[in-house]
Amino acid sequence: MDEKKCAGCSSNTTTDPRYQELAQVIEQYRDMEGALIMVLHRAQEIFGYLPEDVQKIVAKELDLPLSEVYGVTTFYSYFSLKPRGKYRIAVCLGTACYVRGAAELVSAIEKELGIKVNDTTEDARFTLEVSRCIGACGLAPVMTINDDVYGRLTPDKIPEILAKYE
Amino acid sequence: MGLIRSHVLVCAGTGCVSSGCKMMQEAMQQALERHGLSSEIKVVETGCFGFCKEGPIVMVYPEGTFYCQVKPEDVEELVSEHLLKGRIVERLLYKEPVSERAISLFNDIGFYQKQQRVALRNCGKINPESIEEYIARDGYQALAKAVTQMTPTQVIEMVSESGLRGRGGGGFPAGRKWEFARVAQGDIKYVVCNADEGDPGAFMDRSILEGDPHSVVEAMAIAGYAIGAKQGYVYVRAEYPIAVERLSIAIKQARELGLLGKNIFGSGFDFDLGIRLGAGAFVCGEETALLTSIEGHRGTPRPRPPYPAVKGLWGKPTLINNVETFANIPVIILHGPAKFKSIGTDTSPGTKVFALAGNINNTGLVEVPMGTTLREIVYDIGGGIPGGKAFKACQTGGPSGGCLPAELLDTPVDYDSLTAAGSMMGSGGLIVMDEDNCMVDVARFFLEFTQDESCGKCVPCREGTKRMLEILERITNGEGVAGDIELLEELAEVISRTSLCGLGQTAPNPVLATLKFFRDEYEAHIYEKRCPAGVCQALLSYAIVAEKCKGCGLCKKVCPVDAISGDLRQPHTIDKDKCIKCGACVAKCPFKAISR
Amino acid sequence: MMTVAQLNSIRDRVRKELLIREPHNRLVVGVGTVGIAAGAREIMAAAMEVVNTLGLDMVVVGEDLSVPAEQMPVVRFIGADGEEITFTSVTASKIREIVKDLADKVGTAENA
Ligand SMILES: Cc1cc2nc3c(=O)[nH]c(=O)nc-3n(C[C@H](O)[C@H](O)[C@H](O)COP(=O)(O)O)c2cc1C
Ligand code: FES
Repeated sequence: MDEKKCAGCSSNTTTDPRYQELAQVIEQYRDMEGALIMVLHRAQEIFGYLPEDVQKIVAKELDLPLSEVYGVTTFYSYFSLKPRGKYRIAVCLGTACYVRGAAELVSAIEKELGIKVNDTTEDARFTLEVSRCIGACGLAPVMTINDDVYGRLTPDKIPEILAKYE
Repeated sequence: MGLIRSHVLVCAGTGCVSSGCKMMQEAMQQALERHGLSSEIKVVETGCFGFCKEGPIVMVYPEGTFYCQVKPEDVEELVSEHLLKGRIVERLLYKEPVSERAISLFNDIGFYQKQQRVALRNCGKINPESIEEYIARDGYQALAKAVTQMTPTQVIEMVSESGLRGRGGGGFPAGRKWEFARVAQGDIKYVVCNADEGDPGAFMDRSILEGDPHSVVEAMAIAGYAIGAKQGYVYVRAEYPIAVERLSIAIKQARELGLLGKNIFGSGFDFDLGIRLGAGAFVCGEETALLTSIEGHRGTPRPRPPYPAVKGLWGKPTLINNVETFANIPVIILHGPAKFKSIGTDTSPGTKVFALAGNINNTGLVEVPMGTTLREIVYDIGGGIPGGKAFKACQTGGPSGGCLPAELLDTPVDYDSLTAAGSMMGSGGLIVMDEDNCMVDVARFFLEFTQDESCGKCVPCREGTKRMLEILERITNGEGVAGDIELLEELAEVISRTSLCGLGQTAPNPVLATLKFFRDEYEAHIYEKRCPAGVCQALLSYAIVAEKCKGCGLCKKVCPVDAISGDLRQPHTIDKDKCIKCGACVAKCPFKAISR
Repeated sequence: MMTVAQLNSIRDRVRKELLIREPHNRLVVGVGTVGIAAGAREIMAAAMEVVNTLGLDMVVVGEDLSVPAEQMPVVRFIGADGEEITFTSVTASKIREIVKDLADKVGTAENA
């Protein structure tokens, strides 16, 4: 592929192995009743988010109107329609974390990265999200960066933690 | 492998995973190998012990020694001292906060003493990924008994007789619901387990799925037999990957042994289970929305009646119960309703699991007999409030619930008492607030949550919660006006009476409950432009208390806008016009000389 | 398909393994530094072997028992009812006899 010409539209559906994987997933779920949400989950695992052409493929293959697929992807907060950064920061805003000052963590991260919740930094390194209870209330306030969990946080610990993610 | 003389149980629940139990466990395995002990000592991963704050937790059997906060660097000592030479490592034992006494046995720890484990009977005791360990603790005996010795009606009679009420929040009698589903007309029926656990500060159901998934699999099969269903679904939040994985393993193992599938125990009864993932919508915890979501659509609720028991998944009669409700079923079938009823109160038999969190010393998962008072939970089990602060309120029921103040700490926890006191049982989130929590802000927090999660289908909920939130934001921003409280009350009344589903009907509860018990805080915000707890930024006014200030100058250094001035060893002052209320000085002051 | 009898046999087999987590009768072997030097680890292995062969409702535990060094290795039986018997200067062959003698007292894991 001529990388100079590629605009990263990711619609290279024939050679990109991710699309072949998607085709297999759809095959696996095709006969299941109410398969749409399960297929979208797997698609998001493959692509990291749900680009428009993926939604179109899913709609066509499952024989559903695109509006229905789009309706579902926009209803559920777990699905993302925008590409996300390499590291996904999720600050827990569950009740336990909230009463222990999680909101201050969010402001500290916003300040440190110069982005707002649900945004991605320009260098595509971080996406900042908020989540609900992740079940680590004992360590509140808590945040996760991809699969790493950080507990007993205070705003001043934020810069040091973020610096670990290149 | 040689003969095993010791089991080392390592908690692998989400809390302990967050505290780094995986690395510790690897270090343990390596240390055992170094000391040549790996053939006689078995390391077992278990589900949540409940005491998440003290994680990672390690239990050494047969001694039953309870170690907490075990880090990878502690492992060598634990292995060479305890596992090799039989000496308990004192410094890793749990220390009672007040007496500083080190306690080695699990049951001697105050946190566990008042607990009684029924739904959590196997959590932290067995390896959740081993069906054999579940079977060894009488697992699948209840299913065997039901399908080989009892008729479906007898099973339902037992559940009714036990008085078990739904643990998902509503408290509806389980036996009645099962009977509705049994008598409903339909060739195909379904059993559904609600594992969406939407309360944003709770993790009871997750811990059961992570620690004892087979109890739910077994109970759902029993329910299938009782109502005449061949297929079941567990609807789990996608945010619970460990729970999903353990449940998938459990289902696979049960199928391999023929405990799910065709002709279970030769009785002619067929049953199988599937998992469906949620996708981050709180409203999908509501039963009709959940069913719509399993069907693959946007999870919007539909009006009831018809109830799911009559017309549920794909229009077929469907029994839907919560995870914890199901976890109680095998115990009831195996040991009989009388034994179950001997625990708890007359109208709320059995136990309830709570996720105890917030500003409290011992956070974690606790299971207590119904009727235990809030005071016992907060002080005896929870160990009271940290930092010598004063208790302010207990929040139960999450975004649908309410807060109870200190005067009502003697309220017993059961469905009816909590409702009568002005809160509700809910699904089991129990958050403790201290004097530093602002109740208006807490109400705003919940409203923000419900407003965000409102599915938008009905107007009262979609628009009403938004208006309520706007008023609350105004109040916390210091722009509250006379009449706001009355307007909130009026909106609350309309929203709860006219919303389509439980989400909207209960959304005003946090506001109503805080208004009932903490009206003075609302009034202070509106009329005096003051936040008594010092939380609402806009209402704070920082000042240095001259008598306490030693003039060390730390606050001056840390202030980002140079609003603090003063000479060394002289009381400093804050320029209110420059101050941006960031709170940095308060955090820094060693003499607590800054008031807000 | 699994029968109830098969289910019960898995339960009984694994329950024996899980006795370690809810022991009734315990045989404590003194495994402090002196104990180990005096051969406590071999004694422990021998004790476990006999307990296993006889299928006894008893678990073998290592603990640092404090007795005078000349009495090492030491073994202490602690019954489910709290009864305690201490054996001093134990050897690997002696421990086999001791366990066999205790067999009647503790019963088998099957009937636990
Ligand atoms: C907005 C809303 C959210 C709910 N969330 C949950 C939930 O997360 N988990 C749950 O078990 N029940 C939840 N429920 C209650 C369910 O609708 C239903 O009553 C319950 O699953 C029935 O099971 P049970 O009788 O065993 O409690 C929710 C209800 C409403 C109105
Ligand atoms: S509320 Fe944040 S982990 Fe539970």
